Amino acid sequence: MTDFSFLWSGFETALTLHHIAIMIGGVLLGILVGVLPGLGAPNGVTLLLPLTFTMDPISAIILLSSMYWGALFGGSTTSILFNIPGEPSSVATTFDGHPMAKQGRTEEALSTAFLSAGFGAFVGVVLVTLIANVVADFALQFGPAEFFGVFLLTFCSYVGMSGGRPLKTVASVLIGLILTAIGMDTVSGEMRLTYGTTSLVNGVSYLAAVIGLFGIGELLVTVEEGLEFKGLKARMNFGVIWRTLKGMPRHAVVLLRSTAIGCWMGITPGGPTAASFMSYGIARRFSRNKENFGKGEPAGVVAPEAADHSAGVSALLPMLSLGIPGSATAAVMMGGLMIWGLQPGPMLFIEQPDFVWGLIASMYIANIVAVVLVLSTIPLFASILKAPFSIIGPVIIVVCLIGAYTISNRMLDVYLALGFGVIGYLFKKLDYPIAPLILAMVLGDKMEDAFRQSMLLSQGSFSIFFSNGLVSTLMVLSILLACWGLIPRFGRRRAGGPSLVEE
Amino acid sequence: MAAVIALFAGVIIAGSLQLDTGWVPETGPQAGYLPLRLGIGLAVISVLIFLQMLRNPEGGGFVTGGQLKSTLAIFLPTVVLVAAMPWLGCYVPSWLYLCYMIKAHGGTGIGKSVLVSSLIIIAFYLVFDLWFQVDLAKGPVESFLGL
Repeated sequence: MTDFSFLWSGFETALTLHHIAIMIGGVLLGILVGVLPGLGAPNGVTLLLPLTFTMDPISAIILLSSMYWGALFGGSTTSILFNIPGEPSSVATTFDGHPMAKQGRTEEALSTAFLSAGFGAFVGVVLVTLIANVVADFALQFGPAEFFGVFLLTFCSYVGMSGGRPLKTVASVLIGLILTAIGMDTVSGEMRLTYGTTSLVNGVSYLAAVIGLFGIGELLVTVEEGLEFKGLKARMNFGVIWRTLKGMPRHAVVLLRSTAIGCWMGITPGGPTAASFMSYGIARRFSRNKENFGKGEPAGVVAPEAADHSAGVSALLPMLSLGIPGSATAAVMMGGLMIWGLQPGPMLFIEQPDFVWGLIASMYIANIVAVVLVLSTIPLFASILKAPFSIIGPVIIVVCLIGAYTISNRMLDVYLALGFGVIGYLFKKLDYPIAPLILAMVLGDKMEDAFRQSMLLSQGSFSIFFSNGLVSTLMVLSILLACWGLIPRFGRRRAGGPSLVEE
Repeated sequence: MAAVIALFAGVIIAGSLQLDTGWVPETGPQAGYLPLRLGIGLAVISVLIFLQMLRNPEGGGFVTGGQLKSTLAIFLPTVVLVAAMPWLGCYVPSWLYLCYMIKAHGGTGIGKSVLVSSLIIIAFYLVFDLWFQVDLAKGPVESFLGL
């Protein structure tokens, strides 16, 4: 069980004026990137990351994580007001949130979304508090083979949960793994896949990839859809918020179930997007007034929002305790940790308890800050979208390109970001998942190291992956998940079976 | 898309063949071992995706002419912007880009679009160079102004 004195000292770290100010700034920036189409949590955090290199790690992680929470809230706002999800994970919120807003129940829809999101986030943080330490202790026994098993399980669960496109997911993972192999080999120091050029020696930066794939690529898709904000006015009054709060117990079952789904999907790398779709689908299937879904049913807002946020928060659990991020944004943050000189994984809890518990404590406070801020500032942010897209769009592109340059002050990253923008556009159009690619780029080197270290230990024999109960279980689970993704889908698709979310 | 992936896989396989792709009994795989296997795996996947496409072809092209046009209208100026950055630094091309985009797509007057882009670029300068002290690339114009 967790030693609460650590949490207490974490609160002492997080509750300083400096850190509260950072949280407020982070949340506001987060809401901004969440509201703007084309900018979302992953690339918002990426753009901010180079600016944190000079900060001390705890302030930096508080800034980045606060931005993440803000972006999660901002994304659902545009879903409800404009029927345009600011984030992929808030697509499911448009199904019922926007109809509610159109019926003139905007305030109810927004406050329902924010309150369920707040609840989901809170449960996620409690979960992280209670079990992060336990998981980390457990993971201390891991050797390279076990870590390889966990990495493999991560990718296989993506394939298993890919919802009818397992081959595309595998392709995405493989491309990501190959891209990380470019540059200097971490074991032998040889140059790999640089084709004789010196510019590729340092490898392909995954930050440039995030900026291109999530930022520029998404923006190109948005432009193509002919974006128009025919939004509804956002107003907020506290009477409605209070009434919604009192009405929340009616949705208790949906709320708890969606939060559970969210936590599960966050810890296993399903991610917030899958979590929100899944819990929306399940909420509809088990609802008594099924026919109301899609026409403005509050439960249809509660379900995806609670799942989205609990997944977003609990995605940090495996990142901190195992060194495996549960979502694309967590992957970027983990990259940040490594740049600040911290090694995510079980040893972090022993070597840097101040950092870990400061972050966890800040998650409690920042989420409260986020709910309060989002409820009070949403009309302001909604009015930003009144500015014509012909201004917002180009500004976002310039921000993305300059952000790519600031990663390491070299032009190569700008070219890469543009190139990844094209790839991201094609991926989006052809329904290839992007998150596995990013995850593979972040984890690829560690995975290869783990593999090669295990091979060194076992002197080149694969038997090390089945040498004890733990690692065998991991390997068998991975294989089962991959098979579950790859094999039955073919049959089901031929039969025209139901998909997870029916449009 | 499958063809593009296959091509990429081919390049990777060719690249990793230049390395030692072997497997030494004591130390396990050499530098090129995994990239080669991953490249082959990707090639196989691309063939599978192609086969799957043949089996249930999705009707219709994937962009219409109009969509392509509006995407290119954004994309091509961006390419020009990126191409100009190494010579002119970050600020001047961005400013010209913003002026052009706001004028061309927003239908606003020249004065207004220049004003808006100037304000945005000044904001960038304040945030990056002064506040966070991240030096963006500068070109001849900045050195002329002594920034």
